[in-house]
Amino acid sequence: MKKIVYSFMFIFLSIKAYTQKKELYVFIDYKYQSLFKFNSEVNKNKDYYFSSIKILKDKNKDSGFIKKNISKEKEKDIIVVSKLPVETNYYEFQSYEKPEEALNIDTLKVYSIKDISKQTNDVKEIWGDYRYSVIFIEKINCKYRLWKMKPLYLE
Amino acid sequence: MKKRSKQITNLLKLGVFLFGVSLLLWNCEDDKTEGLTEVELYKQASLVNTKLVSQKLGLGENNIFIRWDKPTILVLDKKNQGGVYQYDIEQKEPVSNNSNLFVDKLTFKLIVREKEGAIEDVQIYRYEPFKKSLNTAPSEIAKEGFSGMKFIFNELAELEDIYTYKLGKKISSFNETKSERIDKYKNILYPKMDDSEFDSCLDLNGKPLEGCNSGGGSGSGSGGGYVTETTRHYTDWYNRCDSCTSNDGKIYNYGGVNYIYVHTKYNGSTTRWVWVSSGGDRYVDVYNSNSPSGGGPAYDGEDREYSSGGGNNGYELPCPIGFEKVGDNCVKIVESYDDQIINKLTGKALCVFNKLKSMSTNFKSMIQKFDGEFPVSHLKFEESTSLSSNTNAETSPPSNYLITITLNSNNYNRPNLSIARTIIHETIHAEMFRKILSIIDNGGDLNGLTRSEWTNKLSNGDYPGIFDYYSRYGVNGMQHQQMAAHYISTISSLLEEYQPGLSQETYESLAWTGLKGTNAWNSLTSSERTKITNLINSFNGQGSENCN
Repeated sequence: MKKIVYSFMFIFLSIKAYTQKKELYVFIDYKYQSLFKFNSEVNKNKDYYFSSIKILKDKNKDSGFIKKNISKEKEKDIIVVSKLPVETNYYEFQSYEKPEEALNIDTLKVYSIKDISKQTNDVKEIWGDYRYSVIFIEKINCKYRLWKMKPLYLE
Repeated sequence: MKKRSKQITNLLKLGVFLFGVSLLLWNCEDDKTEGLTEVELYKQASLVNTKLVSQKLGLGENNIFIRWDKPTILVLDKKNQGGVYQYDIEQKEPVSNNSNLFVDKLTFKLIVREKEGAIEDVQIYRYEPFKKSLNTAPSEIAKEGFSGMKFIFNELAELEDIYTYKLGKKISSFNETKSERIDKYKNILYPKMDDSEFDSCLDLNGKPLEGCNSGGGSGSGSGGGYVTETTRHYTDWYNRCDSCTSNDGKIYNYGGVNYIYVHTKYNGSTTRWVWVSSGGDRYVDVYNSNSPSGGGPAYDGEDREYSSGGGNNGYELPCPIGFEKVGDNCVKIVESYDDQIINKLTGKALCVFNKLKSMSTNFKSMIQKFDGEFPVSHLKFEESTSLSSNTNAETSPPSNYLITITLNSNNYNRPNLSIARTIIHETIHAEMFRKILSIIDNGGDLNGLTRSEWTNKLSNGDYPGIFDYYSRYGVNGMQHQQMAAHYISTISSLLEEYQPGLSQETYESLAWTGLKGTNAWNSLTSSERTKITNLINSFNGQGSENCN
């Protein structure tokens, strides 16, 4: 009997571990505020929740969100046709789900905005696998709001 | 007095007799047209487009007329207000069949079937009697002694079947016994056998058909067989490469350039009737079913060649598929990339692409606009691992008449329908670029023009929608806006063609991928946006799958 219980527990934990692997926590830390733009909308009456975060790609961290380079062709009023989609200088994540709330996040393995910006090895795997969710943690007073976001892919 | 009374009685008897005879004659006359009022004749006449039929039967431009004034009743079913009627189809300028096997003058009949006062079916019969046939002017009421072929077409002159007759008896139906399927639109019968060679001069029991086997040709006077020959047309695709290996390990050199074999595309087939003489002479005889004008040894020359030599028309052995005749040798055909879609996809992406092309006729038509000899632009599909991780694919504007779609091969860990959707999304970009290029007409690319030149050309172009979106969002911002506003249902129906069985909501939601942030997206209600996003996430949550 014990063996069966242990087997079930093992399977349950394995499944949990597997599903957990498809989630990654990122703390919205305002010390990196030049690297991201975060906005959220909570309307409890309408049961509407939305959040979006744009994080600058590492190579664009100095230029910021606004592209300032004006080409010579543009000065001459010559239209330059881009590839589509027009490449953005940031990664974007969005959520339309009601965020969970937590008082403590000490037990979670949390990555930083900078990790996303730099695409460090640990966070690279969120791309391409559509099962992945990135849970952005927003600190509000003494609690945390956990926004389960999906990467926005360009096409 | 008594005598006079007898005379009157005789006159009366004669009168009654003559009245009876006239009634009988009137009745006989009535037999031919009974059940056909003027209205019904008009109704039947309006069913047939003689101009179209004339052309499709290879009789020339508007060269036939139907004798609506002379119907022959084949069956009269008063109880069900129905019947079968036959009309003569006559040629204004007789067209000779110009055949060695069949008589010169072919006979055409129109058959109309009515039931319960409505027209049920219209068919056109073309009788092709063999030269030795005892009856060379057959019809549905005069088949005695007829040996030859009866080609059956529908009212649009699309081939439905071919019957073979021997001395007035039907001995075979191509459709019933020999055909795998019929392509009504191309007038092609696809034989069951792979080698496509069967002798239509044999009856169902394999016995030779007399009128058929005793024919001769080109003065040879020898016997032979009348066979159908189906030519299947293929195009072999090769990729140019300087240092690469192919799946089959073979590298073909043509003009000093190395190519590897990629795949073979089946382009359809054409079927013709060919007389093969048993006396050693073989020649193409009469009928190319893909080209109803028929007559003479016309040949499309795609992968076989025929030539004439001496007193007889010769039949050269054809080259294998993918080779062409150069002198006495068969040389591998190398396709030019210039007039084709270039497909460099591999593995899963190639599988999804091919499935999309085979499942969705609309997608196939979309990409065919880039195919052919003189398209506005060519289209290339390729893959890359160096696209940004948040980009599933990109489409490059035309450059030297080539639009390139590049898929991010790192982002295939998702359902196949999602990959198909990306291909569709990018193909719509390509289609938009193609339309713009057709208006801009700037030597194969879109760069180097000023804003006023763009505005001037687009405002005078054939696509007011493109000009509208260009005016509102600029050249680099217009496509997603236009796609979101006008292409959601197109994308969604293409997705349904690719993978039927999901809910309409799922297809429509998936179609929004890549279009969030557009005005059309923002104009949705917040609950609609939430619902769509959750449906997309839930669908994509199924993860990756194999493509076979």
